[in-house]
Order: sequence, then C-alpha cells, then structure tokens
Amino acid sequence: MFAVRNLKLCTKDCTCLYVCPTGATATEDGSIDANKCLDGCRLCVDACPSHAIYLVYTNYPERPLPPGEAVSALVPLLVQKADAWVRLANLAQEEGNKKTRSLLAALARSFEIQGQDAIRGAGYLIPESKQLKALIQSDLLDDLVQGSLGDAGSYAVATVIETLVTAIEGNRDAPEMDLSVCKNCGYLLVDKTGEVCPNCDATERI
Amino acid sequence: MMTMLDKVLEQDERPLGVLSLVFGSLGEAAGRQQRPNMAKLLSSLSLSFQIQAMKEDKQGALAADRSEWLGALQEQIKEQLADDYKAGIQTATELGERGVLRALLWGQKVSMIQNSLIGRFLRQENKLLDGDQQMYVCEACGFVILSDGAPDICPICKAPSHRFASV
Repeated sequence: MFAVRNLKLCTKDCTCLYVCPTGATATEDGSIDANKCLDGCRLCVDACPSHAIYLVYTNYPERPLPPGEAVSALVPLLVQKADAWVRLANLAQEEGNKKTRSLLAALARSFEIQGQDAIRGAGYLIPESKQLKALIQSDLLDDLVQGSLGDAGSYAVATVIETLVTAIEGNRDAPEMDLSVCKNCGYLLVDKTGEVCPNCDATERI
Repeated sequence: MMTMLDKVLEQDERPLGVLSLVFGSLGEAAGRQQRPNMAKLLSSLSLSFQIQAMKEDKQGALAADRSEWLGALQEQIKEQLADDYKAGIQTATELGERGVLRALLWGQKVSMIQNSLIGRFLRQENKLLDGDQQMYVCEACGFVILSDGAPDICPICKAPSHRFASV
C-alpha cells in the first residue's frame, strides 16, 4: 500500500509532514513519494485533520464475481445502453444547432455512464480482474478489430494489449506509450506512425 | 461458465460499443490506482472501439428519422422499466447482490429521467432549449438535467455538485 494526497481536500495543516518517518509526504509538487512510503504505516492518514490522505493498494483483493443470474439481468440493459450511447453520439456529431447538440450529447453521456455502471456490476472492476484476462485471451478483440480495421489495425491493438498484460502481470504501471487514435476510423496509432492514418488516410487524430 | 461477454455476444455479434465501455471503465479504475500510463492505454483502446462503433452505426444514424428513433428509444426504455429492471431488481435482492442491485436501482431511476427528457424534447423540440439553461450530467449515475447550474446534490445518487459535468 502507499499513501496518496487528495489536493482538493488538503488544507495545508501539514501534520502529515511531521509524522512521516521517511519524509515521503514532503515533496515539492504536493504528491506523496510512493517509493519512500512505508507500505501503509498510516501515520499521515490518521494525522490529517481534513482526511485528505488515503491508502492505495498495490494488490487489490479479488472481488467475488456475481452469479450468472445477476449478470444475465444486466446484459440486455447493457447492450441497449451501449447502442443508445453510440447512436446518440452520432446524432450529436451530425447536429448543427449547438443547444440541441448538447442535449443529444448529454443523453449520450447518460447512457454511457449507465453502461459502465452495468459493466462494473458484472465484475469488470479493475484491470487485474479475471474478467479482463478472459476477454484478452479470447479471440473476440482480434475478430472485431479485423472486421473494421483489418490485419494492421488488429496488430496495433495486439501491441497495446501485450503492453497492458505485461504491466498487469508485473503489478505495476505500464511504460509510457506514444498513443493516439484516428478520429475518422479509430485506428490505434502507436509511436506517431506517419502523417496520415495508414487505414483511411485521414489526418486528424485524438 | 458463461461470462458477461458470452451473454452479450448472444445479443450482438459485434459489440464494439460494449467493449469501448469496458475499456473506458477500466481505464478510470487504473487512474484511481495511480497508474496513469495504464489508464492512457485503456482509454485509447476505449476511444478506438468507440470510433469503430460509431462508424458502423453512421449509415443507420444518417438514414433514420431522428424523432422516430427517439420515440422508439422511449418505448424501449418504458419496456425496460416494466420488465428488465423490475425482474433484475427482484433477482439481485433475492441473491443478496448489493453491487448489482445498486446499479439496477440507480439505472432504473435514470431511465425514468431519460424517458421524461426525451418526451419533452419530442414535444417542444428546440423550444425546450430556448433559455440560458445548460445540460448537466451526474458522472456517478448518469442523471441528466437541463438547469441553470449544477444541482447541489444529485437527486438519484446523492453525489455533490462537483460530480456534475456540463455538456
């Protein structure tokens, strides 16, 4: 475990600075140095009068998965939310009137949030979860991406997934990757591959 | 054992939107775990799948009559309120599944709000948005409102005003 400071709550009482045995809490940028932090000694957490410090696990306990019946209750709703979100996002994109666009975009966001909620309810809580492992090990991602973006697109996704899996298995953050996404077709661009999208020749990327 | 994805695949052969949501949610979780690079990886995957999903839906979106589609969406929501949500809430309660129950209870209330908002828009069209009010969405539960400012507290999930995003 390591301590993290929520700067929105920090009131600069600085009691955390005095109690920390290693000086982890005393940094110039307001963060707490996780490398110096003594695996959750809690002195700073308990000392802070504004409850601005919390502990983050390096190993999260595995959450028991909800039984199949409960997941079955969520799935039809999830599929509908995802479809409504995607369609509303398209409708918002096509709408010229600024206010109407914001209404469509707000509705889209509402369905997006409901969808993500259902997914968490079905057990996809953290990247370490068994659910994500199963998804990655299945052929589903590959099949889907092949359908829209062909071999090269599928390869780009596979590269990113490999990096992700290595990080999860090593129980640490991934290395920094130069990633962007083609605004037109969704092609994952690793390391700024060229000026135009290799899949659709578009220039705009996110 | 059937996973959630197996069940999703029974209903949708190419669940690009669902996958985008999976990666999006996990990306936010990675951010909260203080793993910003992992979070960026996951959110890029999410965005990629979202754009792929929108591209596949684009033709349908351009061809459809918007008011008709919104009306059909309302009917879908009403059906869910009458069937899926009621049945799901009962199942989750009987199984003691608190997490699933919470998602369904909030989801049900947000759906009622969505139904009402769509209805108002279909009746009033652009007149609904005439004033200075803006759209606000609660990032915790999806509650959506046309209002002068973010509500002090979300009426559905009780999140405070800073959890609201203006759209």
